[in-house]
Amino acid sequence: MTALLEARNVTKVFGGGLFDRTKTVALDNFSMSIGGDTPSITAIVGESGSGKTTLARLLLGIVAPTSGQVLYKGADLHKLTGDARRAFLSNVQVIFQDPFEVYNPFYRVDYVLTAPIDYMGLAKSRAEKWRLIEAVLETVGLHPEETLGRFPHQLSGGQRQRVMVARALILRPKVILADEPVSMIDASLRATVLGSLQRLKEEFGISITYITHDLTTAYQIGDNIIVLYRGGVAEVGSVDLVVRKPKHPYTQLLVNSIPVPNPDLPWAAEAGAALAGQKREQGSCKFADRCPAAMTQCLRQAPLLYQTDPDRAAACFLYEEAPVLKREEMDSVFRHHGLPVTEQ
Amino acid sequence: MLSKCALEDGIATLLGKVGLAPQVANMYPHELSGGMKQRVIIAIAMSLSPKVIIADEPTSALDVVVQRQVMETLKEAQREIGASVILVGHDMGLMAQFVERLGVMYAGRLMEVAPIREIFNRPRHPYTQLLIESLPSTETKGEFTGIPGLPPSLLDVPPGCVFHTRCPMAEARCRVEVPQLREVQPGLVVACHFAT
Repeated sequence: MTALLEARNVTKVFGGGLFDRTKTVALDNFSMSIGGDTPSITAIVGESGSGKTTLARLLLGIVAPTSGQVLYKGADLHKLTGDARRAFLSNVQVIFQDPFEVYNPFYRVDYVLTAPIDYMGLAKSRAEKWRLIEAVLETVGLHPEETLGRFPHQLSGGQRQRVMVARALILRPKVILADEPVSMIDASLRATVLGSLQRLKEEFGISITYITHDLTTAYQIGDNIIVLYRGGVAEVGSVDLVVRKPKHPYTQLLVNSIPVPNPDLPWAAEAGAALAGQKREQGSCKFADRCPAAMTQCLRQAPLLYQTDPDRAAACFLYEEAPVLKREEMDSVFRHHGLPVTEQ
Repeated sequence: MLSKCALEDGIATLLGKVGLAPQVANMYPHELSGGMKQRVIIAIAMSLSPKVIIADEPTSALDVVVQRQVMETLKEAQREIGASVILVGHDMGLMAQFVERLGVMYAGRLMEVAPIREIFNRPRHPYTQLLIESLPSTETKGEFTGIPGLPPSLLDVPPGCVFHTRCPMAEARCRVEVPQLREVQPGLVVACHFAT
């Protein structure tokens, strides 16, 4: 099985150069593969600054890794040329987080929809082109007559984001990277957009990497989940295990921070850090200074990934007895289709 | 006028309140993540100790952990300076945790205004009922139950009740007569012909 898109031991460091000497490790020795034989939805969850968007940009080849490789069909993404690059561009589509920054304010919104059709030669006639555009707009819940011919500033944030989802759908790609696609869409249509992403997986076999900070929607549409914390993997596995019975203290913090739509169930107070204020050595557990379960060894060394269940691994010394899972083999805990989740 | 030093201290305190380091003041917008940018904006809004803070989706780009911190800070600021907060948003979970009174809008009109507990325990308007049913949770996993149909075009709002095109309870009357907001109980107004 070769994956369509693969990150192999990817590290991305920002800064540390001539003008900005503070180094930020946005992603630390990260490996994953996307778009294998069975389409699946992998959710990547983490707080702001955890490296989610950097990961998306690396997988798209917008930024180059500091070390490690990003591979498309086994070949280095940065060395693709000609037809291979065109194939990559149509097979891997992206939906970005901020629908305000992706539009050119001087072009009507039609442009973002006609451009991929023209570039990839998807329609034989003008009529076919507009039929295609109208169909994808309706899939994402937009009225073509109210959307086409407008300028970006005439649409709301949610409408602009739905045009972006429509644009990604046009090319019928094999992989969609969705970076916070629904964070600016209202609740009744959020379900529609997420439902259509899920349909894309089931009907067209498109694998989706769903990058989000919203654990609830990650749980709803994801098969597998990767929880990132400051560029490192905290917990990885099937969504049912990771979201419903989180093992890593950081995942537990995330799950407990979800605002429950019930006024009678108030937000639980954030548990204090066990070793607050103590100095963390470089290269130790990144969560140690905020962790309510931190132990002294957490301040000195970094935990490996421990496979606590067949379908889950956590990078936390609390589970040190469990077998170590190599970072390169992280995907092995991902649930495959048809197999029930097993828990130890 | 503030001295430069006091100004810097004030900026550092404000940034601290939204969970940012003082150095952020010297960074360019492109160096900040989406969440950090939003937190700077919240700090700016708090800087003049206003009486009313209108927060339009203040945390929708933030992760849940920071969201809770920011909402708690906003709540503290509200108590401290006696400001009222109008929270505009679509996250019913956040509303449940933060607000006392909720107004539900649809196609430019208020459908219902009620104390938050009434909204969740006994939603009066069919739209509110469907909205609450469509909330995803981590308790159950299943089909997405969105509200069937699309919101109407605001250029061509349907006659009568704006929600009748998607409402399971709609009758002939709803297609012609616009329901007015009525007080069905003290402090609880609903714009539906059938609400009691």
